[in-house]
Amino acid sequence: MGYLSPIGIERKEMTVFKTFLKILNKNKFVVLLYTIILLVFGVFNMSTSENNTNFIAVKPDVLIINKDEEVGLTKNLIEYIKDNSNIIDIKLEEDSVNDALFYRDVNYIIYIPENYRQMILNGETPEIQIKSTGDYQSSYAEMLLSRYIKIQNIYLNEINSEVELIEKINNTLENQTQIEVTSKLDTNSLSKASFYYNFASYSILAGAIYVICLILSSFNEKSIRKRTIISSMNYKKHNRILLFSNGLFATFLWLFYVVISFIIVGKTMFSLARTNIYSKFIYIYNVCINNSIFNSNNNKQQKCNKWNSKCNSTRFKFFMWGICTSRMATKKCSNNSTHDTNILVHSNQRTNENNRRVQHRNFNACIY
Amino acid sequence: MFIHNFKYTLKTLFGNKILIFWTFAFPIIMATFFNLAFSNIENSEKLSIIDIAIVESEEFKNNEILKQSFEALSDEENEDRLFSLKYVQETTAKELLENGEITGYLKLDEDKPKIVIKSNGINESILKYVTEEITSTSKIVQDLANKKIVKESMQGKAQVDYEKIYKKALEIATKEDISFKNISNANLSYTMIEFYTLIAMTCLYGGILAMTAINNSLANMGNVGKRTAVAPISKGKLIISSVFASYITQLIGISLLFIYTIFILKVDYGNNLPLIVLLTLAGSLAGLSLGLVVATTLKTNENVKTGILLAVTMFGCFLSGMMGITMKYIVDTNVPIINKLNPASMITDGLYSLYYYDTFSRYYINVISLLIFSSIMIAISIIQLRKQKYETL
Repeated sequence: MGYLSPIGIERKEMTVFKTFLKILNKNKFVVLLYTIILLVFGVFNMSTSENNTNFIAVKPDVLIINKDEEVGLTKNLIEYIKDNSNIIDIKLEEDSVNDALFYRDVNYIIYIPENYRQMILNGETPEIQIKSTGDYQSSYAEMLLSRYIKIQNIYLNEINSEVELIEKINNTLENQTQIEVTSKLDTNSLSKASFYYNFASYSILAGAIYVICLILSSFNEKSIRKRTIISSMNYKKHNRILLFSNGLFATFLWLFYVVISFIIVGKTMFSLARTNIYSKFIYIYNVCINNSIFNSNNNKQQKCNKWNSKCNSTRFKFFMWGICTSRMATKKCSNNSTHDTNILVHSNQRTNENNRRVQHRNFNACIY
Repeated sequence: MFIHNFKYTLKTLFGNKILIFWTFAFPIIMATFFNLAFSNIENSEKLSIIDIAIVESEEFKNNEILKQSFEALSDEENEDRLFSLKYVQETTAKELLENGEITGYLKLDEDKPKIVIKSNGINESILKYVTEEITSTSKIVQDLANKKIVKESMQGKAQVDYEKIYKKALEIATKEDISFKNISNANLSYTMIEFYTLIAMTCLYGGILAMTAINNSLANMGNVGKRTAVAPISKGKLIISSVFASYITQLIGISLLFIYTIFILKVDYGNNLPLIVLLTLAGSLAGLSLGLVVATTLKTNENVKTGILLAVTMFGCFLSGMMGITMKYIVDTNVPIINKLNPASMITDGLYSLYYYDTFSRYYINVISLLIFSSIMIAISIIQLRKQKYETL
């Protein structure tokens, strides 16, 4: 009979827990490394914008390939597109342009034909060619272009002077609708939170898998395993303590990342009642990882026991479950940012892009 | 002897379950996960119908242009339907907005449209933009009508038909149907790159098969190698038959992956099957030659060789976009030389050019690059094999 330790584990059991902590201490740099990567990426991404609670229109990524002289009507069209979209600067070789469209570096490409201005002034209808990715950003870019061309065509029949026509087009386009944003939440902070938690899931995944695997494989070393088997401690109890220790490590890892999020993102995290869903999901995600690693590692050790023959299939199921739930968790993280706070994904297309990319990365990391 | 060794190498390779798992089953499992993870990503990016509400009021009922335009844009029979519209009281609109059931609502404030939204976003931007377009149209109609009225008055017409002028102006303002010539390629699905990198990975993983087969002929790699080394048979025949057997095994593995991805996952590799086969043959040869180089140049045990080969393969796949498709684009645009030397990128780019481009020049550059890469690797392996002498084992 041993006496109880402050956390309620018997002294004999503390041996396993203490060994766990010792090995963990040796591997703390791995966790720190992933945290530093997270912070570097996080701070780099988060240092870009100021607080914002007003309406900002989303701007699609557009490339203009102008074959006409940039004067008069042509210049006015280009300026209008520039004002309402992000103009992407890439090499104007056909292959580079096509690659940029395929990899979504640009959503919409406008080809202004040769003699465009002159043809308009002559009353002809020059054919504008476009290339589009077919997503909502490109649909929005097409709306912008259509509106301009439509106004231009209407006034072209009424006005003969180019200067007057340009002035009329610009006056009509100037029209602004009054808009009221009801949410007083800072969209940039929410984007930061979304980015942080997306990336944190990757860091947690990598950190937890690496550290727990290292610790469990240390316990599974042949000589140590033999000593554990002949010791007086029941193997079930030994495994239970290991699982508990892993759980504790995973919880502290989660807590560590949540605390960092409060430091980095700031007061918005406190003001968001539903943002805690982020942390909940990331925790569930963490538990899943923990379970699947524990199962797959301990299976080797448990082969000596009869009942563990069932573990082969269970291990695979847990592994699959771990992968699927991690995907759901990351997806849910970005979904929450859309539906629960109604801001993140749609607030900034770049954020959405980031979410998707991080989701790709998380999923791939999960597999490898 | 050639047939004999070929047959037994095939048996040895197929008998190695772990090897077969990693080269045959693992890519198929990966393809399944890729399909699960990425199948719906692109569909969710397309413009969908936006839920909005309009606050009922007398002002709105009297504003013909605004009313008709929103109704036309919400018409279920309209192919270009943009909105799903609800007419509600302001309190209900606020509730709907708060509950996230609508993107925003529109109300008329002193005859001017005002949009209330909850937050920034693409749907909100579109709602604002469409409202502005409708208001612009209204302004244009007003403008055209005024001009016509002034013109007719100046011409000295006694009675000006305001209604007719207004209708005419409305017709001019709304009849303009703008269309552009879309010259973009129909094949724009970027998630295909993930599957192409998987094909590249499988081709390069074939190197492990070649390495295992060659290791059996190397005297420093185990007892089988020692026995083979002292056997009175042509070493050239032995090595060529081993390599040929591993190439056949590799091709069977990759064919299974192709069958699975084409018929079950419906991955689109373009329509030119002979060129896909040619690229796969060249890609597999590159993987095989990479395996040969690792097997012959490194004087270490099999596990280390496998580790190095896997690390090289995975790093190559990473650069060709397996862990994030934009990586390939980033490398291509910033440091193109890396992907010109990377066999995984050559295979991925070859499949990409078949899928996306109508011309074959880029494809052939990739195939030739793979063949050059393979030739160099095989030449290095031959030199290394010819040099092998063991003082002690």
